[in-house]
Amino acid sequence: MKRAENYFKKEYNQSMIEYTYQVERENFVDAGVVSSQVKRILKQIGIPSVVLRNIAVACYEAEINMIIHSYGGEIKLSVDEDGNVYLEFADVGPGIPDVEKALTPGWSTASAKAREMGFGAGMGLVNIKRVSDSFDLQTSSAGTTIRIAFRVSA
Amino acid sequence: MKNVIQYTLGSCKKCMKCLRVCPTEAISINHGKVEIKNTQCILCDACINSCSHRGLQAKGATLDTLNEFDYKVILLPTAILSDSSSMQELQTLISAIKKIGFDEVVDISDITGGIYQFAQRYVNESGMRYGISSTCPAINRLIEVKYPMLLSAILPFEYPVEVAAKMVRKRLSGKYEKVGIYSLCECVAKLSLAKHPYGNMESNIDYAITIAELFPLINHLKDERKEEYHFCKEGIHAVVHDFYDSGLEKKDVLAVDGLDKVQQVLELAEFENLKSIRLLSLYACPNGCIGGKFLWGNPYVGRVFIERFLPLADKPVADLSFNDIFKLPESIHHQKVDMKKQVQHFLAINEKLEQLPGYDCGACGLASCRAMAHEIVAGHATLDDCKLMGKSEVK
Repeated sequence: MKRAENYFKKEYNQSMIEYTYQVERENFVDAGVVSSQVKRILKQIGIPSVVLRNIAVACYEAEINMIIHSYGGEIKLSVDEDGNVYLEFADVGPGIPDVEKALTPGWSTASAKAREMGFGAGMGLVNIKRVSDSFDLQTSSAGTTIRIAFRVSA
Repeated sequence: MKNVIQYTLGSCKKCMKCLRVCPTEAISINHGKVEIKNTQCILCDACINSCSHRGLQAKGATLDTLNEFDYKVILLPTAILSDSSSMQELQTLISAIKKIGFDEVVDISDITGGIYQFAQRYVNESGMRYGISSTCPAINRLIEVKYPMLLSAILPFEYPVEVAAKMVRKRLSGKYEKVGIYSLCECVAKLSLAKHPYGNMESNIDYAITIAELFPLINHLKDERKEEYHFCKEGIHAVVHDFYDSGLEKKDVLAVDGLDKVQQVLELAEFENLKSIRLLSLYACPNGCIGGKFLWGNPYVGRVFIERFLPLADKPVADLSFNDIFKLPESIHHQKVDMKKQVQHFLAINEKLEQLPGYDCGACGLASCRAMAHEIVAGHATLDDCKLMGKSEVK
């Protein structure tokens, strides 16, 4: 998989606005709280609705994924001077054993508890990749990092 | 269009209640006067209800306009049924309304019902992931102001009362020289759907008038006389939030009443997390349209009353074609925004915001510290305008 760092540096400018949020493992009560804050900030900046719709969906899916599957981690929102939006979801494990399968629609390893809550339809990663302009996934048993970017400037 | 909600007091007591309840931060208090930003106001009645001094009002047209016309028609909302406890009471009410000086009293529940039936069919046939019913003007404005991402989910239908007015106008054209169409309104938002008094010149309705305005007169004119009145079951289903799915084949429908609850659902919709729900029916008022401010009954009693009319409904739904009700959907504007400027603006506001106390107390007359920071950046205020800055307890 292509190294995200290079891609981002080449294509995009330095970030002007940065926010970092913590996500706790299996904290279903707070599911979506980070995404709501990200959405609110991006509305305040004035990101056009057409792009914001995709960002909201991706961020929400990725946040839920982190809660269900990971041991917890961090979500970082950055916006560069042209208004392009970057999201980084970095968790501390256990990693995705088979990335190819995880990117197959309908494939899910969600726990019974998560399914009871209505999560785990197996569309998370697929949706995130579909709606973002750039998608990068690094995974090992030490954790998974997903970086996505959205082009907002013309 | 003019502001529907007006401020009427000479000087405001500055209790700040309206500032806090407004869902879109449309209100500010400036030099002791409440100001409502027309472009932000969604025409719910939150501020009117919050004002302890009754300084905020929404008024409809008055009856002295009746002599402008040769033939006068009044369109009655379905929700008015919730104000009568029995068929007899309803029939005396209708008779009294007619006596005010209307040549025709027209029930619109058949049209409301027709549009209601169209909604589910449209969502299924058009292939939309989900649709939002379009009959509450306050909800439509809320989406426009606060949830623009969802504009394309609003069903492209006219308001029932507009469709009714168009059909009445067509039926009577050529028969009378001057036909006057009045819309009797159960809620604040509906007052905006008429030429007068608020200047929606595209409307087929001449005057919007509130039920509250007619009430004293109706009481006065009520006697033992009755006027037959027919209404449609599906129309009732459409205006009461917990009846909404009862007339629909598929139960993939979510009906929500009250602005707080509606906003929770719209937040979810923005994440496309509505699961298998295909149709949202959203009402700004409690219990649906029967919670409208101008009805004199309480919405919970009203729900009991209107349920009594379900078995008595004998009018079929109006035979509407798609063209009768279609309205060009609000497209998401491809705003030409200068993102570089936007980002700089956001940073400038944040810088000021960090210097403000962050209590959102409203004492400066603005709804939030962010709104204040906005004003400072725009050059309309300075940090000194904050009433809390410098107090030792603050920061």
